[in-house]
Formats: sequence, C-alpha cells, structure tokens
Amino acid sequence: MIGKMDCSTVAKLMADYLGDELTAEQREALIMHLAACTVCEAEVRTLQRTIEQMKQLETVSMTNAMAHTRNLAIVRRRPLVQRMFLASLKAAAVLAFGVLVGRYTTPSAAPAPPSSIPVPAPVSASIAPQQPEEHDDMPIHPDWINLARKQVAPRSSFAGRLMLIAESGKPASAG
Amino acid sequence: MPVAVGDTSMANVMEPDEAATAQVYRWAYRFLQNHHDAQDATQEVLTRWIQRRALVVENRTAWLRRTTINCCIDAIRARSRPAPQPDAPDNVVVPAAAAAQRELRERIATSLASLSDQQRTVVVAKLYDRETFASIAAAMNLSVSTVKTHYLRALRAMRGALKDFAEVRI
Repeated sequence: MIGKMDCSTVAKLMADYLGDELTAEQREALIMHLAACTVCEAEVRTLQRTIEQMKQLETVSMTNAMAHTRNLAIVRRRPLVQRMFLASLKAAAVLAFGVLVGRYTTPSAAPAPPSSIPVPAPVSASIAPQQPEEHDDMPIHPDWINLARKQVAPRSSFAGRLMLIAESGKPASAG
Repeated sequence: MPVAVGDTSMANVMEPDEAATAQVYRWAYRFLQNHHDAQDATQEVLTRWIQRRALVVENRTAWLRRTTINCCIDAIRARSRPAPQPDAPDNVVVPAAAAAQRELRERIATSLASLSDQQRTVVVAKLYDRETFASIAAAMNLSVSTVKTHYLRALRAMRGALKDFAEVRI
C-alpha cells in the first residue's frame, strides 16, 4: 500500500477518476498514490493522454448545429416491404395497360377461310322471303309473320313491292 | 446542450425535433469535421429513424447516437476521395493542423470501429456528451460497474491505436 490507497483500490477507482466522478477526498488520495506509484501513474497518464487526443475532435455549438440542420430535408423513404409492394403494383398496372392497348389496337387475328372452300353468298332477306320457322311447341300468329316481312321488305323498296304483289296477286297501291 | 441519455420523454416523440436533429449533427460533425458530410450523415440517421419508428426503441437518444457513430465510421471507411478541409466555424484551423486532425479523426474512427457496440456507446457518451456512468448505465440497462469496465477497456483499446500519434494542438 502506498499512501492511503493501494494499487487495487486505484484500479477500482480508475474509471471514476478518468471520468471525473470521484469525490474530493478520493481524488486527493488517488493523486497521492499516483505520485508515489510509477506503475499506476503510467497507466493513468497514458489513458488521460488518450482521452485528450479523443477530445481534440471538437464539434460545433448547439446553435451552429441548429443553423445547419434547420433546413435539412429528410428523405422520407417508405419501408422496404412497402416499396416492393408498390413496385409490383406499378408493374402489374403497366402490364395490364399494355395488354388492353394491344388487344384494342392490333387487327383481328381471326383465321380467314381457306380459298378452296366456297363461301356461300349471303342470302338477301329482301329477295328470298323468309319462311316462318316451324315451332312445334309454340305456334306463331300469321300477323306477326306479316309484320316481320313488312319490316324486312318495306313498301318503299322495289323488292318489297314485288313481294307484296306476289303475295296478294295484284299491284300494290301507291301511297 | 447535449440531449440527456436518460430522457425517456423523448422516446415517445416520433419525429426528431430540432434539438435532437442538431445533436445528431454535432455527433456527426465531431467525427467527420465537415459540414457537408455531417449534414449527409444527419440526413441518413434521421431517415433511418423515420423508417424504423414503428419499431420499439426504448431510448431514442441512445439509438440516434449509436446510429450516428456507425454512419460516421462507415462514411470514413468508405471515403476514397481526399477529405475536404475542415471548416469549423468555432475554431480557426490552420491547414497543417487540419491534416493532422484528419489523420487523428481517421484513427479514432478506426479504433472506435474495432470496439464493441457497448464500448463505443459508453466511451462516446462519457467523453463527448459528458454523461455520468449512472445515466449511461440506466440508458443501456447495464450495471454501473459494467459500464465502467466497458469504459476502461475501450480507453485501453484506443490507447493502443493512438499511442504513436503525435499530439495535435489546434
């Protein structure tokens, strides 16, 4: 033991001494020990020098820091999962838009009938009068059939007049 | 004015206020010694905070300090270009001293990076923020003796990294 403290006590109090948290009495006793013990003195001195070196990295005052951070724009990035979800949503939207545009802008891709097969000419309803379809279960009233014929071949057309003449056996009255 | 580590009222505040933002800036500037880099680091730290604010953070100040130190260490490590000259408004730094200070800063950052996360937090809180061991222990949920042990081990590790460095006077 050197002075009021031994080396083990100094080792226990070294952190408090370097951190400036010793009482005045403890500090005085430790300094007395350091004055007499070269081992403890070297340990404390080198650690104090390290502290001094680290404290050489000074910083700005709080007022200055506030001035430099007052207009700091924080990039509010969304979380990664949310960003991935939004990205996939955008990709799906773009894909759907592309499919719709492609469907409505490209010509019809229906296959043309082969030229070897004769295509039947469409039968004109005005020339070939339609026969009423036979329904065994639901008979159709003749007035409905006549009305349909008049709608298909109106009187104003030449074919319609011919059809009416053929049905009635006399020329249709004009007007 | 440093933000107290044990200030639990700040843990309920979701957005870092002006004082907390300035404190992050001061931490960043201490290691980076450059306003532009300090602003970048501050922005990065606050962005990370906003991203993680949904998570439970017991002590916002401790989280901000630890994240700031890690950001600064990453920035110093990743910096391949020559560091810009320090432009501290509080001190007039001559170029020769600035170069020495830059080397010191890089050495400190390297040695801090070699420490454990707890050691790094304790030494920064004690040396730079002048926290007491009791407040640091309360913030880190450690015993006071454990915090003191971390402090001494961190200082001894950094002593080895800085022992051959010439003392710089600013």
